Amino acid sequence: MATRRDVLKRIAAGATTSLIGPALLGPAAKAQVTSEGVWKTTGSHWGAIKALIKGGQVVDVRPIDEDPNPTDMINGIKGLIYSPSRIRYPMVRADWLDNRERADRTTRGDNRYIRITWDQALDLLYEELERIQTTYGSSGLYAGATGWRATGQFHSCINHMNRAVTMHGPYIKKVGDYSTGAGQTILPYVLGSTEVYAQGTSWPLILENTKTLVFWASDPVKNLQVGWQCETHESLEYFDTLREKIAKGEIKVISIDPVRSKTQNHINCEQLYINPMTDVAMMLAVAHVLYTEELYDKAFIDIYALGFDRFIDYVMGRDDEGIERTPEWAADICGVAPDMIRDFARLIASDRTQFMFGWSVQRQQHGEQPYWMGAVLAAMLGQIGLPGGGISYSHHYSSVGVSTSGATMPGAFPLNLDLGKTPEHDANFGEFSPVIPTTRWIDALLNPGAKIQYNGNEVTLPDLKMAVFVGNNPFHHHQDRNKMRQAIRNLETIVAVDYTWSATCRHADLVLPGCTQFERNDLDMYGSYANSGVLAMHRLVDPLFQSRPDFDIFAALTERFGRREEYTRGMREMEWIETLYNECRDANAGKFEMPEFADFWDEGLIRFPRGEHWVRHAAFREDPEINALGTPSGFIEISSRTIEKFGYDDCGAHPKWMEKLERSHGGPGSEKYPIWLQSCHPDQRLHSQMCDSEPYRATYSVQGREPIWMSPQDAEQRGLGDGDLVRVFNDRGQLLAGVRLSDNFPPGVARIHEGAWYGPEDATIGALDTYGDPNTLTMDIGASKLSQATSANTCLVQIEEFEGDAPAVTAFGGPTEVVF
Amino acid sequence: MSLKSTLAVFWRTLSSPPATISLGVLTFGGFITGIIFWGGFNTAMEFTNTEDFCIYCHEMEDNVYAELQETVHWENRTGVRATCPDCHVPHEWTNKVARKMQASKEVWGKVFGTINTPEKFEAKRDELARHEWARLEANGSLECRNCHDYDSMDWAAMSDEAVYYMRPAAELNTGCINCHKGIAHHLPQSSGESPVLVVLESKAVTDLEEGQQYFAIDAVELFEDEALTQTAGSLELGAPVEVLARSGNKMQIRLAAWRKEKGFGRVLYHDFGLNMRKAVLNKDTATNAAIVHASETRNDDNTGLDWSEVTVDLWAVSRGFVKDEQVLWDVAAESYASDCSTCHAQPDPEHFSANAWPAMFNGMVGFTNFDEAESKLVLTYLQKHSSDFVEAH
Amino acid sequence: MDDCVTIHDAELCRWFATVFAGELTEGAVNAYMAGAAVPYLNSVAEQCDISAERETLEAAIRDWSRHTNATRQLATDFAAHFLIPGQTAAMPYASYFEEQTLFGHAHDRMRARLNNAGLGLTASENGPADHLAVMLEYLAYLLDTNRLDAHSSGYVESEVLPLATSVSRRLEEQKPSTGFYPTVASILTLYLQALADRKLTARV
Repeated sequence: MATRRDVLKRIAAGATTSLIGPALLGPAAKAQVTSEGVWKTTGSHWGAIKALIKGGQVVDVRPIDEDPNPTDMINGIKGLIYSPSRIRYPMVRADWLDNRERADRTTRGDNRYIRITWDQALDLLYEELERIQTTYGSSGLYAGATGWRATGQFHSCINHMNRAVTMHGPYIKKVGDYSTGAGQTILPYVLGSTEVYAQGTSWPLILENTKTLVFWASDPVKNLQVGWQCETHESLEYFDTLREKIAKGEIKVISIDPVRSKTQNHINCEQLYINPMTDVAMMLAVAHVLYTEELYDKAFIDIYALGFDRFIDYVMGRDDEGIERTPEWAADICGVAPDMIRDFARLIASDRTQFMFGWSVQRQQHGEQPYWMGAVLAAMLGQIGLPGGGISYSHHYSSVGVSTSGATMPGAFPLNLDLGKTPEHDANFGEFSPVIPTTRWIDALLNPGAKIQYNGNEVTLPDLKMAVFVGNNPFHHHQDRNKMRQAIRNLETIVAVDYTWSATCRHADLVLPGCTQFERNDLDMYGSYANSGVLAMHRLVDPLFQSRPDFDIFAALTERFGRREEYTRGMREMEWIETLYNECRDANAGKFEMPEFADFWDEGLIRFPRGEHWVRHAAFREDPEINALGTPSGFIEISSRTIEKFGYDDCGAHPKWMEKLERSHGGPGSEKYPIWLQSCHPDQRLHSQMCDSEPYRATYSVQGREPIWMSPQDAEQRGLGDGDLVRVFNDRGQLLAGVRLSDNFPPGVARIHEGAWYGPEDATIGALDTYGDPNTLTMDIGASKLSQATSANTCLVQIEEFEGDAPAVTAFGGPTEVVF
Repeated sequence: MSLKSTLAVFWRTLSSPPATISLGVLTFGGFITGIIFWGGFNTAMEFTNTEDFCIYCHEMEDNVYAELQETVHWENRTGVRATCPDCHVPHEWTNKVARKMQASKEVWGKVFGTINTPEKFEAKRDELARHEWARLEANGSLECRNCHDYDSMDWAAMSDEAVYYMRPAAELNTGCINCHKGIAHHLPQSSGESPVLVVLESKAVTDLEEGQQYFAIDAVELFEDEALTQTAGSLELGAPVEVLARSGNKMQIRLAAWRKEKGFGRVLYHDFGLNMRKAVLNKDTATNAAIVHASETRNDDNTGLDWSEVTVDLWAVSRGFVKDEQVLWDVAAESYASDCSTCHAQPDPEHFSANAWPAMFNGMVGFTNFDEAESKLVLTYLQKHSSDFVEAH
Repeated sequence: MDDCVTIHDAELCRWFATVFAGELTEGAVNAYMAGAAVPYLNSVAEQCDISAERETLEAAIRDWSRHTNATRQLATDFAAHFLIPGQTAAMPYASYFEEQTLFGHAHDRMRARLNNAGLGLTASENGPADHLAVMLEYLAYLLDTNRLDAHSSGYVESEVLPLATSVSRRLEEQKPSTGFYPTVASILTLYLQALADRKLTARV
């Protein structure tokens, strides 16, 4: 008779092989664990860094010695690499895998995924691209959305995605962006350039010549922490000088802002408080004072500008509206006393005045108007083109104002197809427009075929069926999450490539793990505008888990239709980097000496001497005929006949005050939702990047939630204290946030920095956002028919104490509490 | 005594020439004397046609000869190597003499020390290269074609990109050097000239005909008079002109354009209301009604500015033009596609109007590596291919 | 009996490691449905009381036959538990629970242990060493080579058991389509506790 053990043995003999998998451990050579580690240099939007690598891991990250003003955010980089939110494997939504376009789309955002191999994932991506192109043509695919890709000229994911996907077939592209949409559309008509991304007057000339510096809704000390290319932080040193000059009474600096900004606190300048979204009203009153008190520069207007009379008729009430834009008229709206407006107008007309506008003020309904009106005021002062005078829309960005070296910068991996090459599928957009204003893709999903106005053109919104997002997080940068969640149900397929489980990935069907920029070699420009040098970006660690560089991902995609060799041009990572470097070196030969590639790679950073000081618009001032502006007339257009002819009700012949759909401080809708929610660029993130860096987020989150900054008065009224958990809501959505009280904020104004990750409780429309993404509450309308830009800062909310058990935060990978 | 060392002695005797004899006479005389001195024209020609001769006597060995050794013309899988005379000494007899006469000038440079150090050679490289390019352009790249021939090319074996460039060149029977400058030696770098202009110059037509239209590929200088003494302004890249008359290397051209009646009217534009520049005139010329014939003004409703149509006849050196404007746009399109896509996908040219493009372009040009000439060319290309010129989408 | 049990412990640990290392194959699913887990469960049951958990697990496995595609269901459970980050997910890394990060100190400690033993991860991917499955397989190695006492006192109590406990607690909060993983994790925790107690007793 068999013993029990014998039976067990028999069963085990047949089953063990199935229940015990391959060995996870094997013999390995003993590594040297006494190593001191090695420091490696690389770059990022946060600046150039050196990282201590020990045993194949990043153990410390510090700024390079050359960085004069490193950002605190460098402390978040290690947590970004080792974030539990990392995408570790290619994942696919199970239902979508089985049913594709017939899958249930209502569960998007609360998906059941399964792990697949890279080969399966890339096959799926290729099959879907093929299906969409064959079934719907080019208009069915949206791959045009782009964002703040990780830095590095070779690995730039925007270029890799574009080249590879275009190689397969054309797709709907976008125009404009979420940062400066209104500004970059209106200013070409007014000042003849987008201005927002243009180099500005050199700081030393401003410090030397400006008597009154006006920061208008601008917080450079906060925003200069990051740059589009590797940030040098070279312009921040001028703010220290500014602080000293203010202290000595050598310059007057005024921050016009509802909030005491970081910059104001840093340089200790004055604040001119203004009600949110009412800047244009105040500016019109300033124009009224300048005009009626004859403080404006008539000669300048005569020679350099057009359309002044038309505008002044409006200011003086000699037009259809018949309202004289006096300081008294404005004071009721903007909350600035009439005499303060007069004093301000007289001050700026008294001597050299430099305006510096931030971008937040154009990220609102009618966002074109404050920018246009700012240019009109600058024209009336007649100092455009003088050192330390005129207007800038970019000094808070990427070290604008640091003189350009003149050196040629390294090129990038080609975004386009090589000459003579065509996509696998021909262009076929049917009745639809091939390019849409970037913020209108959600409207396209909800109303395909609808015709909208944009910048003088009619756009037919396409019928999108598939979207590909690479290094780009629309579930952060787009407005009105709940509208968005409804809209994306109309997409059959969503593909996301990223290194981290952003909300976009959580709403995607196919999710591919790209590695971070710290896991690949590259090179970058040092400085976005100053061209201060060329930086070698050394791989700090190998790609974690199964993540891959975008180059590898898209090369493998093109292999599926036989064009890998064309895609890679037969070169690998280091060959590309060396080629890009050598092309740059050749272009600089005879002008800027650059070492051989090998020496450059060892050195890490080569620097070029700072260029000569420069004054924006000086050439135009010197000779407006030869150096005409890029406006329709070549002159500053105070009124624009071109825009007038478009016939838009929300952007007319000249800058105007227009009431907003909702506005705090007595404006429309403020009785129900009395608090203005501003969602400006974060202080401790780059948009949504680094929100997933757990230890760093812990330095600012409140009860694990994104902070909402508010005034002690508003808090007291609601019985709230610092650190309380609150529900912030309006008719569009609701979120949880943690209260931070600050005297920097006036009553009626609250702030949640954009980029806070969206973490809905579940997949239902209207679900409570558990972390605090302000775009759960913002309004998704175009700023006007002209720009169709984002109106994120036109947003009213109510705030109340959150009662009951707070739901767990679903946005991230990290646990809410430590279990040990 | 070998011929080579005889030659060395000969050059040494020439190293202190009488200062009163002109350079041209000395070069010519010295060369002829040398030939006769060696007692036979053909013998001398045969030796001077070897590489040893070239790298001994010219400032070649450390410069261009070393550069050649890095190229496919020196080392390749077939083992066929091009030596100096294969490319630089014409195979046809009379041409050989002419070329050697020119070479004497370079030899003279050694004698007088104008190119006897690497730095001096580098300083002169541009001038020397231009001589050689001009010669190869004039003869249709004859020496290249002894080995490379359009008819013998295997189109199927070429990459798509190579075919893209080579096919039109073959159809026009374009000389090889027009596109392949720098294939055997380093390109001159000290000239400071825009690479785009160098490319365009290689495509310039040399013989302009009266009554024909041409397009400027450079900021061609304009003059009021045939003697070219009174400067009038300059053309913009891509400006079309009509040749009225030819006189030697000069020509009279007609500019038909529009201008704004604000300021001095110095800027001439392609068409009414379009901010696409054709030429910029000096103030004196622009305000001289005898030179600039202006029509009645017409008001531009888009800006409120008055414009008038103008005709201007001016003089210029007949250099710096192409017959087919597509040459310009091909170069510009490539610059645009590569330089404007490092950060984002570049918008299609037809996405904006001709008058909108300058503003869009001005806003972004700081991010590019364009030099001034390339900027102007690319902007004109974008305007010329803007929504004003193609079917709206 | 003792030596038999010791051999059995290593095998048990390898079985647990396999469960948490990756998705069940079709073959494994069939084997479970054919009762292949019985001997393992019996062995565990010899050391601690798992009767309730065992009942749940066997019911869960019986339930698989009602699913149209049990392997797929288990794979989505596996992904939801271990692959997709979430504040209720049970990412099977010790550093994750200790420090809210990956590749933290627990990983360093584990790598040092492996290094000292001349062992390394066999996977081609660049993953951390403090994965529950790796830690269990290392435990199997220690048991196999009789080094648990001599070289790794406290390994079970202070490394593997806390991670297993954290994972198990997290899995309890999840809404899986089958109870397989939460139940195996509960059994693992009980087993490790018993193993730790037993070793402690042996040391005493």
